[in-house]
Amino acid sequence: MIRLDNVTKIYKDSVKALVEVSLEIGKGEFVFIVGPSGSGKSTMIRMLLKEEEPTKGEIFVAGKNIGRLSPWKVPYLRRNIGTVFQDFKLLSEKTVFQNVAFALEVIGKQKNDIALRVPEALELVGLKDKVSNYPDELSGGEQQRVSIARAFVNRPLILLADEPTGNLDPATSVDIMKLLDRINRTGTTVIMATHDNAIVDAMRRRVIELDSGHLVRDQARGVYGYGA
Amino acid sequence: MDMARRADYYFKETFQGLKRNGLVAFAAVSTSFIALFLVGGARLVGSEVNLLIQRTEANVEVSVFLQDTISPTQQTNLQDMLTNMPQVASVHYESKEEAYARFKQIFANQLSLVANVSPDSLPASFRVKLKDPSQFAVVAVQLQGQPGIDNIVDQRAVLNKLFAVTKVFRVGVFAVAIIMLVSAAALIGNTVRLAVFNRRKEIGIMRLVGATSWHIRMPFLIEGIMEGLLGAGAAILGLFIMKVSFIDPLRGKVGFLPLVGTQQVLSTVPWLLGAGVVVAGVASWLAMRRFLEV
Repeated sequence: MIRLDNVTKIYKDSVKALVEVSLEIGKGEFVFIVGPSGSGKSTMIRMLLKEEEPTKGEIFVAGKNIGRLSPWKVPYLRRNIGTVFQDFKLLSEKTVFQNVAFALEVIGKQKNDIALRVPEALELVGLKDKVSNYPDELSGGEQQRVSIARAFVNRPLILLADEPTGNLDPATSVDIMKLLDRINRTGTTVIMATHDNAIVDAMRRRVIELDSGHLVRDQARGVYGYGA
Repeated sequence: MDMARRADYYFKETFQGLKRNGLVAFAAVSTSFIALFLVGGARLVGSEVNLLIQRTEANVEVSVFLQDTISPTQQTNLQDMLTNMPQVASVHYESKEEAYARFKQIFANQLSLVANVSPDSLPASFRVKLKDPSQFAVVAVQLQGQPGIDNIVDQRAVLNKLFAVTKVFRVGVFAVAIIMLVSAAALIGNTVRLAVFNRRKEIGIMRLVGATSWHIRMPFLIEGIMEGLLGAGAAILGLFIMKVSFIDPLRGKVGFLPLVGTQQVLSTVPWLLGAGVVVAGVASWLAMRRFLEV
């Protein structure tokens, strides 16, 4: 589903964000990317979305070399990738329903299609009763569920989550992880960048660890720290 | 997405954008209005001059004013000479009495002026029409030195002076209009920049979920073009109001002057709408290139 071949990213100020990283993630996998701040997690996620280009190396998503993708095709790449962020990125003047529907509206989906899919996605994340609420009427955990519903409503092949539990308390984080696990079980590849060692240790999934841009560990059923 | 829904979405976005940027949008629209009003005004002055040229080219005459002391033989010779010139279309002798009658007609509104003039104080003349009005010099050279001639006047030369003055005026108005159009473009670009800034969060999400760049840009482009069109519409309305309230009352009062009418005002409409769309479209596009990353 995703392959990185010797990917290096050097920013203009000669900061090495990623150095010679190669890895492959299969369809339907659940992968944690761990490492301290500045280790290159976010850079990797941004490159998968083609928001940034690697300085060297090649990236394949769903069989396509995205470095060769012409700019007008980038939106169609992104339709295959759902994204969830630490800060939820919800629109405060739209209701829960409208926030999720927005993702389908702006890619030109039919109204009746939207009317069908949005309630489905909201049911999956357990927010069926909150469709008419506004984001600031919801708890942090609920807001993150809305953003997950929005990321998932178009049934992407890949879900990218960048510190999705970064703003949530441990109990709520567990609920979010259960939700991501459920989404993974539908066959969606889930890639989650995180600091949260408790979650990584509890889930026992594949762990890719980055340190100063180097891939230092790639372990099936891993935990957060070394030595496991 | 079907066309109706797409149109509905763009319209909604455009309207909300205009509302959100109220004052800045107003500045952009009113500057476009003034700029396009001046463009239209300059065009109408041009039309008026063209009407004058058309009217006078048909009637333009060379006036050969005669000395009071001219003898009947000299007068007949002169008339024969003019009639036989290949450049001359027709020759009409205007006596002192005819000149006085015409004078009275032209200055009918200023009777005090008429009272001070007697038929005898006006010169008799030959009114010569040329086949080609530009051949004046050829005719004038041949008449030079003939006895009994007081003065030869080419009406076209008089008119050309008038046209030169209106041309300077037109160029001046046009230059101001261009400066205003540039300001209008800058203001429209600025409203687009503000609109992009106001909606940066939506734009970010649209990019993430895979909206095409056209879909992201379209509402801003329409908003900018809408401002240009509103300005053009107001300018067209303004020109019609000018025509009705200032030009129409003059009609018939200055009988010998042709005046621009509805037809000429209508002919500016496509120009103004076109200029409004092009200027606003280019301004919005440039603003998006600079401020909207997609």
